[in-house]
Amino acid sequence: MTTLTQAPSSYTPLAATERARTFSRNWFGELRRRVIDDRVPYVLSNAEMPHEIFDVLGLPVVTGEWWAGVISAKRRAGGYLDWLNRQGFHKGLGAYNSLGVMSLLAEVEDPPWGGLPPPALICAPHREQSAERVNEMVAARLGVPYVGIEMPASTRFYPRWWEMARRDWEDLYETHRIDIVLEQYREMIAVAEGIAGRRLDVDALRERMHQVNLQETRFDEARELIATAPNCPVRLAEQMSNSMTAQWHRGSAWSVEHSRQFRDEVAARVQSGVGVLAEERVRLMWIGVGLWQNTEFYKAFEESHGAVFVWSMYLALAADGYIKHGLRDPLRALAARYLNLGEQAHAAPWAGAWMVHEGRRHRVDGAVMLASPHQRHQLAGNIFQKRELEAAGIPVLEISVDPNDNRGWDEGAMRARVAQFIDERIKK
Amino acid sequence: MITTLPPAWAAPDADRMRAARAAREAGTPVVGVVGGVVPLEMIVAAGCFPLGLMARVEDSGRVCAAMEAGHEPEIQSLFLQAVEGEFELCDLLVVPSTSDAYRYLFQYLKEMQRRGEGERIPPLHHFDFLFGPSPAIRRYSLNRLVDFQRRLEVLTGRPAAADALRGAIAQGNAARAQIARLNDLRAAGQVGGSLAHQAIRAACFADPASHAALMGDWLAQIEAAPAATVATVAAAAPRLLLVSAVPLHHEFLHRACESAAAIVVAEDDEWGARRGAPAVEVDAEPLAALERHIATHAVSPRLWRAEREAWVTAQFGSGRYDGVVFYLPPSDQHVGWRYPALRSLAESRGLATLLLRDDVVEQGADAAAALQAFVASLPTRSRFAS
Repeated sequence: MTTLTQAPSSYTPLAATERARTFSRNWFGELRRRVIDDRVPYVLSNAEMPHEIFDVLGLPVVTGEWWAGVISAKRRAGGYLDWLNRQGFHKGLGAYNSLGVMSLLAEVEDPPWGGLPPPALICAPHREQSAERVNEMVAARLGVPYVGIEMPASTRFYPRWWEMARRDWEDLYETHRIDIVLEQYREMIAVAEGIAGRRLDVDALRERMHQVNLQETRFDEARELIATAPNCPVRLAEQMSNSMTAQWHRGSAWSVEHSRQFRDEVAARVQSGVGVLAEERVRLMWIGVGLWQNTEFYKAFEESHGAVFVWSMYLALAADGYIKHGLRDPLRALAARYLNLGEQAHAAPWAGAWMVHEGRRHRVDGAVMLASPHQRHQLAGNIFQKRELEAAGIPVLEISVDPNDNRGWDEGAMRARVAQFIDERIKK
Repeated sequence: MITTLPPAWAAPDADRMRAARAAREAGTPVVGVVGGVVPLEMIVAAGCFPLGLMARVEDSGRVCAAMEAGHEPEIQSLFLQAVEGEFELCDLLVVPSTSDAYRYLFQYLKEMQRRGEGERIPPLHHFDFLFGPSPAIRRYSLNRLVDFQRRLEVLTGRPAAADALRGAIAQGNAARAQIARLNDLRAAGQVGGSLAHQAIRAACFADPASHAALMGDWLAQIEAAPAATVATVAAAAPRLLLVSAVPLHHEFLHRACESAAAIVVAEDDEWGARRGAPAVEVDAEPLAALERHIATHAVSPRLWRAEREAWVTAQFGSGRYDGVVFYLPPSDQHVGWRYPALRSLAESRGLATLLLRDDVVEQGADAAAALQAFVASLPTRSRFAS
């Protein structure tokens, strides 16, 4: 085995990481108090929705996938899913997009952070056919409105989407598709305005979008630092938690400032030559949604193999997927942003081309790819991504695992599989 | 009870392309269609042969190098057939966006073409019909019908004719009425579910006019059968409603029910009883009428819950059934979210329920055993309700 000059155990987490953790807990606690005590309405939203609209209307937003991640990170997902299974929901139903919203119905003792209070509005894009069934059911049980956004299909399939996404988004995402999402957003805004008791200020929305661009530009800079540093300066789990905590509050003063602190802290590490490992032997990328039930897994091969995970889609997507210039009509830019966000991360031809581009940029030696049969979008397209990466000289290990449901997780078996992959296909 | 199909339908899977091939040899463009939502009336009106493309049970378990094993067997088979050239006689291959499975199928076929590995896949058209109550969505979907009409005009080199479309709609309505008649005969115990389902599916591969003529003759033959031919055992058999999470491109489930001495009276399936939907309006602008019909009656997982379940819940209260079989095979990520509520509703109407999670093609023995036990627990009938 590799002998390291710096033991991984000497790694110090970023200060930003603890700040983000504290912020999340405090923010949620305060939101919960306001909702319960002051009857402040809030929106429970899927991740791929224009949260900025609700922010400008003064409606706090809880992201369903984030809440599912909180439950999963505390290894509590199994308890919730057991309850759902006992109610007759079978085990093959995906937890990733549903656990957050379904937690509103689940009768589970001592829920994390007190549990989600009842929202005033639930909304989600219908990227998958289960979305309407799950969200509408919960909304009906709670007696709150549900807004679903139908997603039109692409008619153009341009693989190098990130080259156009920031400025040429009208061409990239197609006018007729932007139009239909925009029209549905307007209908959703009417519902949200009724809840908020005020009209949407489009100028304020534009300013919020500028702040989002600023935030994501800093994440873009952080990504570049991580990609080009001799050794990866920050663990993947921290890249994910720092970028995503800011993403769930994107454009807020806290998030914009946090993105600066994160970037500066990464830059300082790079400048002083600090890496996760002093002797980095293997660089890995993680393909797919985060392993939220066990983010510790990302550091499991540091000591044994000198292997560090350097990339996941989260920091990269913050930059390539979210930045939108040309904000004359900010609603239109928002509609464009969400049209292909899911496909860009998972589907051919978008995801494969992007993974290869990012893999080369980050000098990765191999990729570990999540396949979750219970969420079709976390399975579909993997074959094409795998072929693209392998053709580019990046070996791929596909592991079948649920990102949230910890009930079937076998730490020993998973470690053995990845170790074997590194030993047999990557080891230098 | 009638126990045979017309010879032309007896083995529709044996040579599905025969009629389409003949049409093409006669100079008629063939338009292949995936699923049961694309309006065939538009294809007929354009002077093309509408060929329903269906999965094959013999593809079950085949490994596909360019599609993950976790996808539904239906789209695995359709993908394999397309890549291997089974659909080469089609001048156009229409894939709707009416389910996640079909959306992925289109993306995979498109990607194969982009990679230069789809030489045998016909030119593709994505029929991106969206569902939902929003007026904006309805306009969007209507525009997709307009796009489709343009695509057919390009294919045939002829402009669309409103009269031809009205004529095709009338023909489609006649076919719907025939299936509604068939549904009544099933409810009366005069024809079994597997035969009825097979007869409906046979329409996918046939010239619409020829199929209508055959169906008319067959229905007349059933109706003419003396009441005494309705076997006592069949008359007493428990009657089932199937609620399937996936399109049934085979008869395995029906036959398993019948092997357990039950009768499948209807199924919530795009190839089944629901094709006897109400007629498309004939006095309205044709494309708008088709859009309204699809938006309300399509048997699509993407049809919003209230519309999708209206037919099922009406069946629960119809008095036609003794039990409901929910077929949610391993690939289901859709009906499972509604299963607890639908089960409760069915049981509140006095219906027994069974949940089948095994794939009836690959794990037929397990499914058959579950059905045997379920049917045995149901009371037998003394007569059929009128």
